[in-house]
Amino acid sequence: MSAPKNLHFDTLALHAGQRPDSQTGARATPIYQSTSFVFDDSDKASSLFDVARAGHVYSRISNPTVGVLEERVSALEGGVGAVCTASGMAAIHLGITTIAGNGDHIVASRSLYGGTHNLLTYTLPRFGIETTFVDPSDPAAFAAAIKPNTKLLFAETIANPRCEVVDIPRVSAIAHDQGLPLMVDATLTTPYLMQAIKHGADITVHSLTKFMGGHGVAIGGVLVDGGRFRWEKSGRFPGLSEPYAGFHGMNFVEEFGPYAYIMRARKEGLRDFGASLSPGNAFHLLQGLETLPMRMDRHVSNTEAIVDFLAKHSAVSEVYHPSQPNHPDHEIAKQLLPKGCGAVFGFELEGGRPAGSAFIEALQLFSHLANVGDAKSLVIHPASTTHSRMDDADLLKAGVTPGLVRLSVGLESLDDLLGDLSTALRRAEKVAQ
Amino acid sequence: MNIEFNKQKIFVGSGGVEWCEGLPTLLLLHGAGLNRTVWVLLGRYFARHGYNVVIPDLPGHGASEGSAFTSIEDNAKWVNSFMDHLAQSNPLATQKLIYCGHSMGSLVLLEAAANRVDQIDKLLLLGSSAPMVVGPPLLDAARNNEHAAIEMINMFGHGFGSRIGNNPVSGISAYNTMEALLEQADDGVLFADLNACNEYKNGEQAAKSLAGNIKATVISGDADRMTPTKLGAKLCTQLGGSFALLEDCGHMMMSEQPETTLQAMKQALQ
Repeated sequence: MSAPKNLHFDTLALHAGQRPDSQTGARATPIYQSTSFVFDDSDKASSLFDVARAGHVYSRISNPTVGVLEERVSALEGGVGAVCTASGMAAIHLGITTIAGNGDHIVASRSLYGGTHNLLTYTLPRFGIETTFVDPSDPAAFAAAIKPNTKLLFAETIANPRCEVVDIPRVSAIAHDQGLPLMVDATLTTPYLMQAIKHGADITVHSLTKFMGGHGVAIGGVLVDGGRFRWEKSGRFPGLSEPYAGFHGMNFVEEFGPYAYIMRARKEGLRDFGASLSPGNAFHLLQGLETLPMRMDRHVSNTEAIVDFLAKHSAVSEVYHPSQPNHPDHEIAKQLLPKGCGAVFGFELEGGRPAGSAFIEALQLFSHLANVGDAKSLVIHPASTTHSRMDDADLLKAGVTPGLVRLSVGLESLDDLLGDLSTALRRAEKVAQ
Repeated sequence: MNIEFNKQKIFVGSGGVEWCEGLPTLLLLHGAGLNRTVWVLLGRYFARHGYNVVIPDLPGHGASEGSAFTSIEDNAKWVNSFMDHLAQSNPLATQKLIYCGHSMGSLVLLEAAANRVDQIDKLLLLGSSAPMVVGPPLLDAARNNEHAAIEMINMFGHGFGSRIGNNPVSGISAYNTMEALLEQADDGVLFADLNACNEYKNGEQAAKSLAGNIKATVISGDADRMTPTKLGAKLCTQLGGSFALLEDCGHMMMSEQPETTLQAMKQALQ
């Protein structure tokens, strides 16, 4: 007996969370640029504050435009709910602080975006949250680092710039054996390339600024609750499974069941930290999200062609992309990322830092800037920019060498991109000689 | 809170408000494979509007111990006994009870109300029909604990609009939440519940015995493909009750249309 099917991904990317506006008939999602919302009467007001009725109060906590984006991402991820935030970093912070506090511990992949590395290494310890970093390619290392006060395991689906692919099924099994959730930053894969929750992740975060938006015009983030982790059975999360004085004595698990975590994130973290997404940015991000499937296919096809080109080029000593058979995570990538391994990767130029500088400065279509996941192709030298706050030892642990260049391949004509790269590589070769 | 009953721990929600003397008792009962959390908004609302709200997880469901019963009649006997037990040690009324059930819970409370008609004041049946036939493909999938059973319930249980979304509870996917909730049920629970619904034959007689003795309301979604509107209306006629039709709503009305469901329930409770 074949099961009925839900709406397909491409359809959800266009429609999930929004129906034509009942008042005006507007087909596009309206921008509800309002800080606050009028209560019908005092009973409705008190009911909203008591979480006894549904609706919006104040746009720091929820907003109709932002709500459409939250529900859409949740639908695409296969999650039970989502909270949008002002940035991807805000989503990571909200995701962690919803379940961790002073005296708690995190086990994290050591291959992380520089901003996340800073948060875990320097900022969160000031608030009593310590992190042990481990090799993302070694699931046993995650297990070995778990302590009695550990609250979550954290990794990126594909790390940048060497493209390590974390084995989510194995790492999530390790986490679950210890009563812990696995949180993954899925920015570089998006739910189109991988629905991490279906592979065992419990919580996902995204920088919506990147591929999800795709246009590079709006900063935003999102925290998604998979809804499968049993907080009450773990015994490690009394803040979710026991009455919480910080919110009217509410026991979030008793009340909300599968969406306890994301409700706590909204009712506490968004309320108190206030890193909410603006409705205007939510609107921009929704426009991008509508075309995510088509864009990701093009990102991947352009990337795979460029990876093959670079791998054969005499000016390049190594290319780090899981589509390459010699990449250490090629096999797990085939299993978890059948549609492709994304469009952000690093490669080593012969000639080190001078060659890298010459290469970047010779590029004309690739823009030299600190972002990834734009429709336009981008390039950066991590050692001097995104990872510049790491000392040499941490830099090497994160897989960043002086000659490493990171590309984020866009949607331009492949011929034009290859032409730009060819010209710049010739310049780099001259410097290297 | 956990209540010890028949040597089992039974979980009961109260809508976040402690029970107190003098208020009418409103029992909210979940459907097949589900648990108390389907009532979260409505339970919290009525607990703050003059009712002692009782929201149990049936045995074998949610946070309650035990095994799921295999017949509507056994569920109904358990519910009445449990309500009596609760009233012995809590400030809960034993008369003029209000029973409100969804889907399988509606059949359980239809039968339970018929067994104690003198103690029941109002009966609210949401997403209901009697008989409540369950198709062989769904029953087979549930019998084999296949995920396809959950997918079928989710697919047929939600109106098209709810599959798109636009949930008034910001950021929550009602569709995916229902899937996650059904996945929490232990193996065998969903089949026991669905088969109990399918096998229940006493609905018409129970409804007729209640007609004229209690105030009954049937609330249906116009896009309900599990308990279609016309069958809900037929049951309502047998009960001699009132009928409320929710627009753009399937079977899972509490999460699909929490506001219009609330208004229909408020009307029924007047």
